[in-house]
Amino acid sequence: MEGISPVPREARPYQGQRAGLVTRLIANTVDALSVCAALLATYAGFNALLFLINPRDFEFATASALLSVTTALFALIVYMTAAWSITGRTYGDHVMGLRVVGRRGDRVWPPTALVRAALCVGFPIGLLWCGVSPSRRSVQDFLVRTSVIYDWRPRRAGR
Amino acid sequence: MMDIALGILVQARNRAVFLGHPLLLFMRPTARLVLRPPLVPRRLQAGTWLRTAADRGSAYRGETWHELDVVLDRLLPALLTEMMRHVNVTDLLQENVDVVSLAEEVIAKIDLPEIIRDSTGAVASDTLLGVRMHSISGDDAIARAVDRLRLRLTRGAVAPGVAAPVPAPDETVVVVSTGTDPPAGTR
Repeated sequence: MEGISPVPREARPYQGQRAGLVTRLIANTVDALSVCAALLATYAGFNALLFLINPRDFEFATASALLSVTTALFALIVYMTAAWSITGRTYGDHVMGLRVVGRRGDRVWPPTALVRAALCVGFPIGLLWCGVSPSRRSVQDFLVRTSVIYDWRPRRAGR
Repeated sequence: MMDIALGILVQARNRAVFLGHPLLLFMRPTARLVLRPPLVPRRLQAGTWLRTAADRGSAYRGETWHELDVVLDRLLPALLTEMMRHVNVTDLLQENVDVVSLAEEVIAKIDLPEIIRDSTGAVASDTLLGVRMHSISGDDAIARAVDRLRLRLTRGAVAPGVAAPVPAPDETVVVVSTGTDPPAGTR
């Protein structure tokens, strides 16, 4: 007996299969929004700190657009690298029931996760390839030999 | 062997029924005559005595069962308690029954995860389930559309080359028949 599956009945046929474009797009959108929200919260917190330190001369901190975008992309890369190498899923993946796995369905190692994250952030349009690829792999997946699978279980198999 | 034995038994039973039927026809009026003889007062008839004895026996049986119930109600709990003091049922079960497998089987049968999902945060999990299933349907729809497109493109690309090669006029074609007829021959 293989144990009790926490996956709902209707999703069991898809468990472990490679995910398609729609699910991955939604997951990535959730991730981007999450990082934006986190950055905004950090910015608000930083300004609140400035206000507490010197309320009389308080002004909102300003930064150039280039610095803001660079920070956001860097934060996204760090976040994705950490998430994929630790749990195999970002928050967006968790919401959509996805997991990033290595070549043999195992964990993604931190260097691989870093390269993948950099590729995802630097060349996001590469994701669209999973819509036309028969193996449902994006350009990033082909380059670093990873896959994104449907995995509704809370933890990785075998843990 | 079993079938033979059963056949013999069935045959014997049928024969007994066949022979016993006339006997029963004879016995029934005889028994009625013995139990309820005419011209004998009803209270002195054998049937009345037997009925009275049966009633008395029935009442006695009821009383006995009741008394037995009372005794068992007192005796069994004490007996079982004493037995349980000497036997560790938990150890026995753990040694002789694969409790984990049994529990997993039961939980799988009743789909406990489904029950837990239903009972906790039903709205959120239902919404999430809906979103995930819709996105999976979207994935499948895109995959199907791309497959169709690919097939169409492949056909379009292959179509000019698909035409069967036309044999040269002096080429020999061997036609092999799959039936009983001899090969149609050559031309």
